[in-house]
Amino acid sequence: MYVENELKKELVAINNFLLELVAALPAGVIVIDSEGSVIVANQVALNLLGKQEIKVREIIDKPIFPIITEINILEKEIQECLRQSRSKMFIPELRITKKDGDVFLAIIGKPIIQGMLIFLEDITHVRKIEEAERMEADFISLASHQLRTPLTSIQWVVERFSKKEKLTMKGKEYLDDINESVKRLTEMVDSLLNLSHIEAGRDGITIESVNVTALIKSFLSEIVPLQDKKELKIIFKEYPPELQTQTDKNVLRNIVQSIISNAIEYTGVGGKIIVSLQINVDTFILKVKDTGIGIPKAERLHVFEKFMRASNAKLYKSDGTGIGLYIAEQATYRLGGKIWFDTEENKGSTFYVELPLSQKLQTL
Amino acid sequence: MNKTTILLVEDNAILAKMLNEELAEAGFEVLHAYDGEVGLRIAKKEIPSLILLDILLPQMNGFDVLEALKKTKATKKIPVILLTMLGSEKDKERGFSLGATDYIVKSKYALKEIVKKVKKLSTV
Repeated sequence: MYVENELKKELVAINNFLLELVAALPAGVIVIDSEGSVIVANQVALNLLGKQEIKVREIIDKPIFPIITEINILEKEIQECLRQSRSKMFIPELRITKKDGDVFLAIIGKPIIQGMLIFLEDITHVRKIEEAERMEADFISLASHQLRTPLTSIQWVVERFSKKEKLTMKGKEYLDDINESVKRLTEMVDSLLNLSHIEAGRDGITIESVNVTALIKSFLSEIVPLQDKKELKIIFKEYPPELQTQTDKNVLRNIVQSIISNAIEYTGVGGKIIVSLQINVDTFILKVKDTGIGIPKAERLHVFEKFMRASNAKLYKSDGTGIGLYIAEQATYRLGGKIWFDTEENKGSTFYVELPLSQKLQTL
Repeated sequence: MNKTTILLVEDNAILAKMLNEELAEAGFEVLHAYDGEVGLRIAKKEIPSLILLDILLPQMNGFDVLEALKKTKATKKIPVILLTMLGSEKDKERGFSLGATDYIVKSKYALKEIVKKVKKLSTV
């Protein structure tokens, strides 16, 4: 009798401890039995579901469904789990409309012996940050796009003007200066557009079969005018005739464009850039070696930071966005790859990008 | 001698004017539409030798115009050059999959380079 009483006391104490534990949790918890009646719950769960006026004691031993009747998806998911047609329940985002503003919840449900454990987490702050980042990226994208049109207009008008009008030497010089400035602005806008795509496109990877050799050749053919202007020798050598990979073509192109454009930008007139491609077991490595200005030792750790321009780069060329290598790095990580470099100031740099031959998505 | 007719579907007045002048000087007759719907109507009526087609257009976007051109017996064989500010690989692929003959990102091309392409494709 004595032992029985002691055991009962012990059980009551453990029970009270567990109830206090559940009540103190910062996330919402509801435990229901196989019929859907509430065994344990905390006030946080009720508040998150928009039922702050209901107290926990009012729902114990009562069915959960009348409480959540207007949250159809949750009701449906719980019922399916209880019927054991699922091994778990996961709602990555559920929007609850409340008087003081919408709330976003992530909900996990796990069947347990004769019931189910439901765990609710408030992810509103995460969604707000993502929304702000998306809006910022959309703004940059729109602004960049809108800027391209008037810039192209200026370019074409200058082209027609040069062709049609009799110009003095000075006049031709001024028009060349305008053209040069417009080209620089266009490049900056293109960089900003790339940046916004990279930063906004976190979930936007589309995997398809891509011929990397062909993609690089295509990009190199587009930059021939720029190559000729700086009298650069750009050689694509040591590559497989056809390197097929499963990847996102746009993101891969961003990497190729950023690395090679960076090499062109910081290699002087008459310099050399060698592009090569090699296959490893289940990866491939893109290598871009230039005879450019290199990167000072003290600044190498910061090379991939956004808006970072090395001190010698600023002296070499006063304007520049400092986002090319940042884009290359972000794009490389998005494809599950690695990027690194060797460099010697005043001698040149070699950038390496290693990517998997077949994509496993890198979620950020 | 009859001039080769080019249809230009471009909503930006300055870009259209520059292209119009450059093409006319190169010996082409240029028809112009400011929006996709009118562009499609002119294409069906005039059957030009080549169409320069912007993508971001009022009323009907360039991709939809291209699709409609390729579905119409009278216009499906007309070469179409998409002439646009949209430069992503995805947009390019969409354009080619809909039947575009070429894809030009306006900000990367000089007028004379565009005319070169038009000359090449309109005589094929």
